[in-house]
Amino acid sequence: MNGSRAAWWGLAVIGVAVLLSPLVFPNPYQIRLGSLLLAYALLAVALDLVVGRTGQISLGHAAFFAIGAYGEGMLQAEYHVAPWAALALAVVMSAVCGVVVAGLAQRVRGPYLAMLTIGVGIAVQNAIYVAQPFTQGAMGLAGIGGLPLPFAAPGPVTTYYVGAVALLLALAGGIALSSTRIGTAMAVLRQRETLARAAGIDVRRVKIAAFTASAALAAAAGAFYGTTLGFISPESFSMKLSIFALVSCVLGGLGTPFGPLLGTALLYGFQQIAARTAQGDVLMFGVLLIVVPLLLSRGLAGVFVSLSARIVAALGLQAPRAQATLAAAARPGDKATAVLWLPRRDGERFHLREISHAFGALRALSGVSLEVAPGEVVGIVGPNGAGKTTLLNIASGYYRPSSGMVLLGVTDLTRVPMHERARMGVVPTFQHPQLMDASTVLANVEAGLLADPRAASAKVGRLRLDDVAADLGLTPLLGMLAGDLPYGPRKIVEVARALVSEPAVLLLDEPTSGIAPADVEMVANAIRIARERGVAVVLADHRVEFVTQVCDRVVVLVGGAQLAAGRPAEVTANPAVVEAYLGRPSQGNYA
Amino acid sequence: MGTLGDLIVQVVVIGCVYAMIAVAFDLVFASSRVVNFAQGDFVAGAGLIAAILAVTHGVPFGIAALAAGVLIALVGMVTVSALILPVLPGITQRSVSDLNEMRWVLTTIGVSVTLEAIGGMLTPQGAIGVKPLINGGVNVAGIHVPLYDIAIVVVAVAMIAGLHMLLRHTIVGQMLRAVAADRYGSAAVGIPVRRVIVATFVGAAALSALAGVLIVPFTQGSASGGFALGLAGFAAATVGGLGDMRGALAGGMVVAAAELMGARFVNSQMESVFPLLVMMLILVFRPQGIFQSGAVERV
Amino acid sequence: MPDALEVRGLDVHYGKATALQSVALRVEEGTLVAVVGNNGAGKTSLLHAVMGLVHPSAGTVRLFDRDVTGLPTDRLVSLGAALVPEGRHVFADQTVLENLRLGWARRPNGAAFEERLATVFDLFPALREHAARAAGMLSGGQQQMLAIGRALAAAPRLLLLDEPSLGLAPLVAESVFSALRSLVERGITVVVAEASPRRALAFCDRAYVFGLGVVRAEGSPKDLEAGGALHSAYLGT
Repeated sequence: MNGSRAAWWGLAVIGVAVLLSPLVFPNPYQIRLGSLLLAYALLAVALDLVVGRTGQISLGHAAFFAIGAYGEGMLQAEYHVAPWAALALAVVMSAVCGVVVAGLAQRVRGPYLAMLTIGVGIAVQNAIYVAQPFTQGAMGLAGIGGLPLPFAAPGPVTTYYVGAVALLLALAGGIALSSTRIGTAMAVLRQRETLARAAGIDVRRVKIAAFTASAALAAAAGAFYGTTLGFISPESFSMKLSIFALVSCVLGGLGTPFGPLLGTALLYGFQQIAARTAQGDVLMFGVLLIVVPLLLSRGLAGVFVSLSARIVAALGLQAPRAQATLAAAARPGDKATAVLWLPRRDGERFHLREISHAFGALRALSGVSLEVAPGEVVGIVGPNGAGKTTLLNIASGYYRPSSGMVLLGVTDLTRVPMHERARMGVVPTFQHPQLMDASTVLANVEAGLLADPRAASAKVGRLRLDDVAADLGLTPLLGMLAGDLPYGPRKIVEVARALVSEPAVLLLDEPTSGIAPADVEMVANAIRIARERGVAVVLADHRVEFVTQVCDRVVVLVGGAQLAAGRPAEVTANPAVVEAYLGRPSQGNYA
Repeated sequence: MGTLGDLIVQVVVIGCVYAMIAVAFDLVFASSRVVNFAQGDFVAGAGLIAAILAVTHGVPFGIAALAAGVLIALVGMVTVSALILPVLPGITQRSVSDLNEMRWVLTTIGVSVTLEAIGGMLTPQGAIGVKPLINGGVNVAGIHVPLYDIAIVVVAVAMIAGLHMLLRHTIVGQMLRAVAADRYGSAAVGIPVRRVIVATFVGAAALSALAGVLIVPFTQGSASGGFALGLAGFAAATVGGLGDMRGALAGGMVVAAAELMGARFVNSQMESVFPLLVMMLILVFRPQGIFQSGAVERV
Repeated sequence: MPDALEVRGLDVHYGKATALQSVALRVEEGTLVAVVGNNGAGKTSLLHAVMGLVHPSAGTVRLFDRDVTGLPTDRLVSLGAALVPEGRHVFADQTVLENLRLGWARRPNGAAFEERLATVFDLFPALREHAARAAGMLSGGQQQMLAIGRALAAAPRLLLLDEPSLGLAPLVAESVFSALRSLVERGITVVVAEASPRRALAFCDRAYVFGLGVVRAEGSPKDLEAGGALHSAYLGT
C-alpha cells in the first residue's frame, strides 16, 4: 500500500533526526529538553490511540501519565525496586486503571465521556496530594534514578536514547497497526460505528482495548518523564497537561501516524521559544482548540496530505479522475480465474419465527414469520408504519425482539448481537449507506472482509474483492473516495461490502430509496448476483414494482402483521393487498 | 471548623450557587443538546470583570455588574453563533454526527481555556479582593447566618422561580419549551429554532454572569476557579436531570452536601473531588438524573 | 386569480439522496388538492421544500404569485402558509391552549388571536373542552385536530397537511377530511399529502400521484381512478 510505504519512509527520516540530534545539540540542557519533548510526544501518541483512532474524547490522560510517573518514581525511590521492574509495574497499574475507566466509558457518550475523563484526571491529581505519606504530596518526589542500560552509564544521553527508542517503537507500532485487522477495525469504527458492527467488529471490545493500551503507553511516557527530571510534583499533572496533549493531537492531525508528534513538537517548541508568560501558552491552547477543528478538520497532517496531493496533480503525475459510472457487469464466462465461492452455512435456511415487537406501548410487529432458503430472494412490502424496517432490524440483530426467534439452520441467533451475527453470516445493509466517506471504495469494500474469519489471508481477500467488484461493476471505481460517489453507486458499494464476506444471508433495507429511477437496474443486478451465489436475500422496499421484479416471494405487512404472502403476481393481484395500499373503494362521492 | 449548623447553612448557600450554574447548563442543553464547557468560565469571568471595574477603576458596583453581564452575554452570543450553530444538525436531520459533536466539545473547551487565560492576563497581580456589599448577619437558632448568604439564597431562588414563570407564562418561554420537546414540530409551525437556541445561550450566559457577580466576594475576582465552578454546576445539573430545571436546586444541594460533608467528615484535602465523584456516578449509572424515570428532557 | 401554490422544476436532495426530480405542480386557490404516493415517493419532501424546511437544489416555489423559494419557515408562516407535520408533533407537555398559541407566536394574546381561537374551537369543539389539558393526554384523533388547529391559528391562506390520517381509525380520519372540506368552503386552500390515496381522492378537487420522486399522473379523482394510474404507481402493474 502506497500510504503505508510513505509512512515507513517518514518514520525512517524522523528516526534519523531523533537519533542524531544529541550529536547536533550536545548541550546537556538541550538533551534534557529533547527528552521531555519525547515524553510529551509519547503521551500524545497514547492519547491519539483513544481520541484519534477510536473516537473517544479523553480529557484526563494526565492521570495515566501521573500513574506512570508516580508509580515508577515511588517504587524506585522509596521501595528501591529496580528501575525497569518499577516501570513495568507502573505500566501494569495504569493498564488496570485504564480497563476500569474504559469499561465505564462505554456507557457514556461524547460530552459526558469528556466530563468523566476530566473527573478522572482531577481525581488522580488530587489523590497525589492526599496520599502524601507515599507521594510526598506538594513537596514533590525526588531521587528518581535513571533507567540503566547494560552497556552505557546512566545519564542524560542514555535517558534520551531510551525515550527515543520508545517513541520510535510506538510510532512504528502505530504504522504497523494500520495494516492489521484490528487497526482496520479501528479505522472503520472511527468513521462509522454502524458499519463496524455490520462488518463483524466488536466495537466495545476494540474501544476498551485501545483505551487500555493507551493508558499503558501514557504511563510509560510518564515514567520516562520522571526519570528524565529526577523529580516530580503534582502540579505537573494537571488538566493543563491533558489539554496540551489533546491540542497537540488536534493540531497535528487526529488519527494520523505522525500528527501527534508534529503537534507536540510545534506546541512545545513554541512554548519554549515564544511564550513568555504562563498565561500566554494557555491562551494559545485555547485559541488553537477553537480554531483548528473549525478550519483544519484533519489538522496539519491533513493540510500536508492535501497539499502533496495537489502538487502531485499539478505535476501531472496522477491518473485522470475516473468517471463514476459502473462498468458493464461481467458475463459468467468472462472471468479469467474462477474464484471458488464457498457459501458460509451450506443449505441452512434463515427463519424469523413468530416475531412480535413493541416499543413501549407501541406494537410494531405481531407474530410475523418468514423463511428464506439460500439462493432465494424474499421481499417485504407494506404501507408506511407496517413494520418492515423493524423486522429487518430484528433480523440483523440491531434490536432484540420482544418475542419470537431468529434462526439460521438450527442455530438460535435471537440473542446474538449484530457484530457476532455478521461473523456468522447474517450481514445487513442500511437504508442510508454506511460508508467511510474519507476512504476509498476499495477500503470500504475491504471492511466487509473483517466479518469473515476465514478471510484472514490478504491474498484470498483480495481475490474475492476483485471478483465481487467485477460482478457489480465497481472495478473502475475502486480508487475513488466513497464520499465522491453519487448515491446509486454508494448503495452498490454497500452491497459489495456485504457480499465480500460470503454471507449466508443478505439483508437489504430500502435498497432503492433515494436513487433515481435510472439507477434502479444497478441494484436489481446486484441482487441477482447475490442470488446466483446462493445467498439468501431478504429485502424491504417501498417500490412495489421493483420488489415484484427481483423477488421470488413477497410478504405484505400491514400494521405489523402479515396480510399476505406468496408469489409477486399473486400478491399484487390480491384485493386485500390492493385495498391496504389504495384504501377502500369510495362510495362514489367524488368532488 | 464550625458546628453542624454552620455546615448546613454553607451547604444551602453553596447549593444555591451551584443550582444557578446548573440552570444555565439546563437551558443550553434543553434547546440545543449542547453542553457548554465554558459555562463556569462565564461565571468567573463576569465576577472578574465586575471586580476589575469596581475595585481597580472605582466604578459603582451596580454598573460594574451590569457591564460584566453585557460583556459575558456578548461572549455567549459570539460563541453560539460562530462556533456552535454551524455544527448543529439541520432540522430534518436526526442527530449530530460524531465528528461534529467532537467539534463543539473541543471548541467550548477552547473558549473556556481562552477565557481563563485572558482572565489571568488581566490580573497579573493575582486575585482582586472584593468585599461583600452587605455586611453583618443574623442569629437563627444559635447559628450565625451572614446576611450576604441570605441574599445569595434569595437571589438564586428568585432567579429560578423567575425562570420558571418565564417558561410557563411568556411566549418566549413557551417557544423554548417547544424547541426542547420537539425540534421538528417547532420548526414546522414556524418557530425560529436557531434564534431560540441563540437566545437561550445568551440568556444562560447572562444568568451565569449574575451568579458570578453575586459570588465574587468568595471567588475574589480570580479567573482560575471558573472551570471548577462549571464542573460543580454540571454535576448539579446532571443530578437533577440535564435539561430539566426543576431538579436544579435539589441537584445543587446534593453536590454541595457531597463537597462540604466530604471535606468535613472524610478528608478535607479532597474537597473538590467529591462533586466530581457524584457527577461520575450519575453519568455512568443514572444519566437521566435522580428524579426522572426515562430519558425525556423537559425544561 | 393567481394560483395559491405553484412549483416548477423542483429538485430536492438530502445529502446525495434524490428525493424529488423536476416536480411541477399547481394548486388553484380555494381548492383541496391531494398529493398521493407510496412512501419514499417524495410527498414529505415536497411539503418541506414549500415550507422552507429544506433547501431545494433547483426549481422555484411561488406562494400566491410571490417567489418564496428557500425562505425560512417563519417567513412562510407570515406569508400565509402553514404546515401540519406528519406524526402531528404536538407539544405533549404543554396544554392545548399553549399549543394553539404557538401556532401564531407573534401576537398570541390580541383580539385577532381570540377570533382565530374561536374559529378553531368552532371547527373542533373537543379542543375547547380540553383547552387546559396537556396535549399528550389527548387521543390520536384529538391530537390531529390540535395539530390542524395549531396551524390554523396562524390564519393561513394555504394549509399543508402531511398524512393527517396516519394512525387514525377510519371514522376519525373521515371526520378530519370533512373538517378540511369545510375549511375549503371558508376560502382556505388545502393541500393534503396521503399515502393511502382513496380517501383523499374522495374529498379532493384534484390530485397529483407521485412515485419515485417524480409526478406520475395528475388530474381529477375520477380520471385517476379510472385510468389505473393509482394501481400503476402503487403496485407497479
